[in-house]
Amino acid sequence: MAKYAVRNIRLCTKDCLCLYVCPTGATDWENGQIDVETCIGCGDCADACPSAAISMVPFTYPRQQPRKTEVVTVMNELFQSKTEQESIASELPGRLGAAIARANRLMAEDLNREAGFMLPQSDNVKSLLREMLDDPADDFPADKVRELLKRL
Amino acid sequence: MNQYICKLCGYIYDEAAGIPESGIPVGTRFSDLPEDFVCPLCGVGKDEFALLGETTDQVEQDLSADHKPSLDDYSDMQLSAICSNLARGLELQYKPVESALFRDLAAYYKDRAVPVSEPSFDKLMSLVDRDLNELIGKTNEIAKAHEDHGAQRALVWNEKVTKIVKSCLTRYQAGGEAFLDDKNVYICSICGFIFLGDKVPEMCPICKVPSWKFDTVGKR
Repeated sequence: MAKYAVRNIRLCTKDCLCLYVCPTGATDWENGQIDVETCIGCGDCADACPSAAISMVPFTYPRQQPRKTEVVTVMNELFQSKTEQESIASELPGRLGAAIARANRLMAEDLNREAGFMLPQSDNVKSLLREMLDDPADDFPADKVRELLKRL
Repeated sequence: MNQYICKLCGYIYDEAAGIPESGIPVGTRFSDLPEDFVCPLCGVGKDEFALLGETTDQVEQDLSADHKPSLDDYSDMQLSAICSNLARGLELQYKPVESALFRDLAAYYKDRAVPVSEPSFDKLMSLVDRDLNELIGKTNEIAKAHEDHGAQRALVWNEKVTKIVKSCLTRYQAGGEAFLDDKNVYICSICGFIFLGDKVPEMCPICKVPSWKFDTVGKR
C-alpha cells in the first residue's frame, strides 16, 4: 500500500533524527511538515522518531465498516436530541451554557461518526455531498461542496 | 471498465482509476495487472479478487447491506455536526484544506438552522432526562443485538457525558450563576466531559486523553 509520512508538530520533540535518515530530504521542509511530493513512503523517519510524532498514512483508506439501518435509525434519534440540546444550550447565558453546547456538539459528532459518517472519503459522504448540490438556497456554498467532491 | 473487490478486506480495484501513485496507470485492466499484484490494503494475491457484482460472498453482502444515509434524514443542525465531524477527521488525516471546507459547511448549516422556540433551562433538562431514561438504553439494546461495537462504545461515552451535563445543570439550578464564580470551566475536546474546578484534570476520566486535550471555556 502506498503511504506517505506526516508529522504531528504537537508531539515532535525536535530530536531531528528524521532529518538524518530521510533519503530524499522530504522531512526537512520550510513549513515544518513533511513534503508529500518528495516523500517516497519508506517509513525510515517514522521508525527513527523517538517521540512517535511521525505516522505513515495511506493515500487510499480502506472501505468504511458497514452499518445496519436498524442501528443507524436509533443512533440518529439520539443524535437529533443532542443537536437540539446544543441549540438550546447555546441560547443560555454564561460559560456553562457554552460548555454544554460544546459537549452536545462533541457527542453529536461521535454519534454520527458511528452512524455512517466515519470516513470522509466514504461513499456515504460523497453521496451526501452530491445531494447537497441540489440545495435551492441562493447563498448555499456549492463551490465548496464541488471542491470537496473533487478532492476526496 | 470494471471494478474488482478484494474478497478478504473489501478493497475495490477500479480499472478506470488505476493506482497512479503505485505506477498503475488510469484505465489498466485487472487482467493486465502483473501476476504478483497484491491487494494494496491487505496483501492477498489476484486470485482473492472477484468482479464486483458477481460474487455472493460476505464482503459484498456487507457492502450491499450497508446503510445508505440520505440528506432528507437530517436537520440543518445535524448536517452541521456531520460536517464538523468530517472536518475533525480530515484534520487527523493531515488534510487541512479539506478540513477547512467542511468547517465552512458546518458553520453555514449552523447559521441557517431554525432556532429552538423558547429555549429554556427546563426544556434542556427534560431532553437530558429523556436521553438518560429512554433513548440511550433503547439505542444500546439495538446496537448490542446487531453486535455494533463502535456504536456501543459511543453510547458508553455518551451516557457518561450526559450524566455530567445533568449534574452541572442540577448544581446550576441550586446555586445560580454564583456557583461558578470560583471555578474554571474545562471541557475535554474529544468526548465533551465538563470539569468545573481550579486545575485542569491530568486525564479525562471518561475517554482517558491527557490534560492538553482539554480546552478552557471563557474566563471567570
